[in-house]
Order: sequence, then structure tokens, then C-alpha cells
Amino acid sequence: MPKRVILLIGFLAIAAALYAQQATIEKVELSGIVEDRLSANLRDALRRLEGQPYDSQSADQIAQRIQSELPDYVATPTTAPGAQPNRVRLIYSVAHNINSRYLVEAVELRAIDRSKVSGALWEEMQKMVGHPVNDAVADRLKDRLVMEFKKSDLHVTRSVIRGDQPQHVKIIYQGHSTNSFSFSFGSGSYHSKQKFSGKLTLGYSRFDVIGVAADLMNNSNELMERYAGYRGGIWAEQKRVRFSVNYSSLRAQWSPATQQAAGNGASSPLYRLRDTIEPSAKITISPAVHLTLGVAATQLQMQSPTLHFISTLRAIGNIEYRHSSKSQKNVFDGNYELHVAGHTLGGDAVYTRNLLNQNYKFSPNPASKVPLGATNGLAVSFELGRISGNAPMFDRFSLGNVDTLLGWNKYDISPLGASRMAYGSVGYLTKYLSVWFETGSVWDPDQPRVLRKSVSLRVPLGTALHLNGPARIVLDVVSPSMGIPIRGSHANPMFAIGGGN
Amino acid sequence: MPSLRVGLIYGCFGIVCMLCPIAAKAQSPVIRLEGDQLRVAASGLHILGSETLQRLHNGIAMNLVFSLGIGPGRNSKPATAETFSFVVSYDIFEEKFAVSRISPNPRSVTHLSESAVQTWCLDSIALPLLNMGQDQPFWVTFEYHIEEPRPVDSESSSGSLIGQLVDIFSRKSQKQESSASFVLGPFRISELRRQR
Repeated sequence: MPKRVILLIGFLAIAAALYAQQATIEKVELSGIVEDRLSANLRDALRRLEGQPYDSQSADQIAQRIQSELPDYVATPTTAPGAQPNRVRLIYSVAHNINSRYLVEAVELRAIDRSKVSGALWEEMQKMVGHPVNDAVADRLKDRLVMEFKKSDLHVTRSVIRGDQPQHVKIIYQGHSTNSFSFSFGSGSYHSKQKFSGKLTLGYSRFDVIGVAADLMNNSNELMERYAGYRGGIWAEQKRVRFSVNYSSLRAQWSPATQQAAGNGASSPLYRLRDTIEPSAKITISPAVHLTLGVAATQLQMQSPTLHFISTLRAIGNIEYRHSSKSQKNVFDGNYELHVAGHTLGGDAVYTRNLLNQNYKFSPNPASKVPLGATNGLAVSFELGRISGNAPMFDRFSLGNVDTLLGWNKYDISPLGASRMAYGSVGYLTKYLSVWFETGSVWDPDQPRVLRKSVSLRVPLGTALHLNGPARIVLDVVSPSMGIPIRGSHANPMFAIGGGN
Repeated sequence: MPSLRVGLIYGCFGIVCMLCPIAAKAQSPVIRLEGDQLRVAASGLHILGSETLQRLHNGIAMNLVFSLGIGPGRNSKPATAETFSFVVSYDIFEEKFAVSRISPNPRSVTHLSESAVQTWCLDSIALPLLNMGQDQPFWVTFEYHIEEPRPVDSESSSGSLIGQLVDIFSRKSQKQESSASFVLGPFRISELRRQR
């Protein structure tokens, strides 16, 4: 480091220290306990500080005296700006909660209708701003909030999060309704070759422990088939375990390339209808590790050579994890999924399907207010899949859709899907553009492996246009992408909306 | 049938993964003797469970209450028992824990790691073994529970008696987040001394 810079930093540090020393204590306040709990001597010592220049060592000594008189508390001095410039309020926070030493920067309501909160209560909440966190006051206001929403039976939790300023925090009151209804549109995407996909979800939950959900879906992105139909399910959650039972009835539609590859013989794997019932249990081993165990019974209405039904009964296991570094700059997540069908389970299909998926994301500035997915960063992921036996079409692997190898068409790569899959991608993400390099291959054991590569670009519209609120979220979700296959000739780009890595 | 074998291997792996936390949870605390003081070690226990840690990471302080008792039989009421109360909080900036021992012998400590919280609390717990024969069998009950504290508001705005009553009756009862209870034994002082 150049000497001039070191000198400048030293000068600034000395100037800051002198400035801080010059600040005069306007008032000494005690937060968390009543003054009477301190000895008369200590109360006098506190009063004598008023009008004196602020000195952190003296302030710490008084804090130690408070703590020696009240040893079960943590006493810490904090300063807040005074009424006049160059004056400070010296606040002694005496509490059991270590976070009581931080000043409240803001009090916010989440999932609670602000317009329904009385003016008096809102005013009381805002009075906490500028003072150290006081659990007793914050909890009393939480109780009042619950009382005001008694008719709607709102459940409220309180949390303390880091504020935008150093050593400042925000108090968050989060509402959880007893009865919660949700309506959403998800998995929406458009691919220039595979057309639209999307899902409408209607959900209801009570106390966040039991609920039902219904989906209407039409999807050509996920599997080799375009499937359309409905799925309904019920779930119940108790601490670490979430039980669910889902039933789906889906009609399959096949691309001409798939139909041609499958032929019309008795060995054609194509079906018209797919009905599945799937009970499962998701176990939270730790907040970052989840294990799902379940079974799925599927009945397929086969279309060749004549209409007939076959059934598949498979056991499903999935383990997923998420790990992030302390700074949140490095985030790892992934899962391993296993399907075992046939054998002692019964059914007409006998196979084992393994799928491993690992992702890594590096964000140099994870605390930035830019929404997730639009922060600058690097993302790396890979997937490996292997099927032993004869899996039905819905469990076979494919690459070349909105999410993988954009620029290639899955029906051109392998119209019947494949039993082996390897895929990797590296992406660089900025506010205005993300660039991805993807490579992957799908093959059957008796086929040659062809490694395909593509480069894709994606513009997060909402963020790029500096929009705020729901408009930004919606436009980011429907952002356009363009993928270019890397090959010797006919490198025609493919366009997509939504989805993506 | 190679796929069946592979399936069984992965199935066993899944079951082992599922049983690991249960096995860890099943570990019992260890009782030891230091002089005349009965102490507890519980390296295999994770007293601060995932839900409690989540609340702590959300800046909320949690009460941690231990109870240690000695009785003549497995199902008999402890003849001697003591309760130890702590408040644990997590500094959301420094990402370290702070613990206040409320009773007995109030004391506070800061800048602890998650494992150090448990160690510090358990090191503070001791019960004197008085008037007990060297070979007299006894049973130890060790319990703990964690709950969100409802601190007494020293600056309550409800000045009137009616206001205070409204405050009291509008408060919900404390919800226990996590708890465990162990009955261990039989022990003899002579055996515990030999184990040291």
C-alpha cells in the first residue's frame, strides 16, 4: 500500500477519534431495567457523565459496574445522536438478549395489512426507532397487534434482523394467518420449438400445519411428453416431518419425432393417460438437509398396438441439502434422487433411476438489495443420471429445453429420451445480462455419446429497467433468453421466455 | 438382478441417513462426580435444536431451564433437586452466542460458539451429594426445556390497574420449544469415584 494512503488513513482515524472524543454526553439513559435496581452510587455516577466529553473507556467502566451489580444481565453502552450537533445520548442497554445493545433502525410489518393497524399502535411501534432493542416492549406490542387482529385470528412472530446502517437492527412483525389461501402461476416458460408451459396452483392451509393444493398444468418443458391435466393433494406437517398424498391425472401428447421413433408396434413406449397416486414423507434432518421417502403408483394407458393399461409401482427417495458460507457469498445446494420400480414392489416396469444434481453459486455482494438471481455472481451446476432397466417415458432423461442446453431441441437430440445423462453449466450473472455456457449428453448404453454445447444469454428485464416491486418480479420471471448451439453448421438460435438456469 | 441390489444398497443408505439424527438424539447424558458435586456431561446431546437455533438466529432470546435431581428409585420423586435457569441469545452481527445464568449464582458470558453454550451451561450445573452412603444406590433425573421468555416489562405503558390486568390476561402462556427428560441409574458414589 503506498505510504500516502497509509498516512491518509491514519490521519482520518485520528480525526475520527478526536471528533468522537469531542462529542459531549447530552443525556445518559438506561434501557431494559428501571434505574432503582442500581445502587445510589452507580446512579450518581451515571448522572455525573451528563455534560462530560464522551470517552468510550469510561463508558465501558460504568457498564462493567452495572454488570457487577446485576451479574445475570449483559450491560453495554451505545451512543445515539443528540438533539444538537456534536452531542450524543449515552444509552446503557441492560438486558438478557445480547441484541439489546443495537439501536432500532426501523420497525416493519410483513404479511400484515398496515392499514388495519391502529394509528396508536403504529405510533408506539415507531417509538422504538432510535432506541436499543427492548424485548419487553417489542413483545407487548406484538400482543397488542395480535389483539387488534383477533377477528382474523392472525398469528404473529417477531424477529430482529440486521439493519442497513452499522450496529442498527430492524424489528420485523411477521403475520401468519390461521387460514391461508394462495393462488399462483408457476413454471411458466416459452420455448421457440416446444411452445408454452405453465402451472396454476390453488392452495389452502390452516395454521401452516395442514393444507390442500390443486394444480392445473400444461407442460412441454420437463419431460419428453407434453402433459396436461390436474394434480390434487393434501399435506400435514408436524415439526420435522411433512406427510403428503398427491393424485394426478395427466394426458400425454407426443411430438411427431417421438411418435416416429417409437413406431406403432407392441414395444412402443408411448401412452395416452398417466394417473399417479404418490404418498410421501419429507423429513427435516437439519434445517439444511431434507430426506424424502415415498412410493408412487402409476397407471398408464398405452396406445399401441391396442389400448391397454400397464402399471408402475416405484419407491422414491430423495435427499437434498443446502449449505452457505457465513458471509453468504458461497452457496452450495444439491440433491440425489433414487427411484426403484418393480421386483418385490410389483408393477409391470422394472428399473432403477439415479439422479444427482449439484449447484454452486458465488455472489461477491450477497447483501445487495438486488433480488436473488439478478445479483452479480458466478453459478456452476452439474447433473448426472443413470437408469438401469426399462423405465417408462416419464422417467427417462432429456436435455435441450428452456432449462438445459438452450439452443438445442430435445426432440432432435433424443426423441425417446435416454437412460444416461450428463450435464454441466457455468453462468456469469450481472444486473443486466447473464451468460451461460452449457454442455451435456444423453445416450443409451448401445449408442455413441455425443457431447453438445451451447451458449445462452438472458436479460432480467425488471432489474435491467430499474423497476420496483411486483413489476420487477414479474418482468424478471418472464425475461427473454436466447440460446445458440455450438456446432459446425446450422447454428440457428432458439428463443425462450421464463425458466432458465 | 443387479438393479435390485443397487436399489437395496441405496435404500439402506437412505435408512441410515434417516436414522442418524435419531441415533444422535438417543444419546444419554453422562453423570460424573467431582468432589462431592454431581455433574452432567452431554456431548452427544444437541440441546439447542434446529427450531431453537432458528429463533435465536432471528434475534430472539430463549430461556433454557435445566433440572437435576437425585432419588432413591427410578420412579420415586427426587429427594434432592435443583433448577438452573439460563437465557441464551445470539448476536446477529457478531454471530456469537451470549448466555446469562439467572439462577442460581447469576452470571453472564458472551462470545460463545454453539457448542460452548451447551458446555458452559452444563458446567454450571452441579448438585451436592450429601448424607449418602458410598454404596447406597441412587437414580438421577435430568430434564431440560427451552421456551421463549416473556420478559417483565419494566416500562409498561399500562399504568392503571385495569390496563395491567388487560396486559396480564392478554399474554399467552409460554410455549415450550423443546424438552427432554432422562432418568439414569442406578449409581453408587463408590462406582462414580472409580470411574473418574
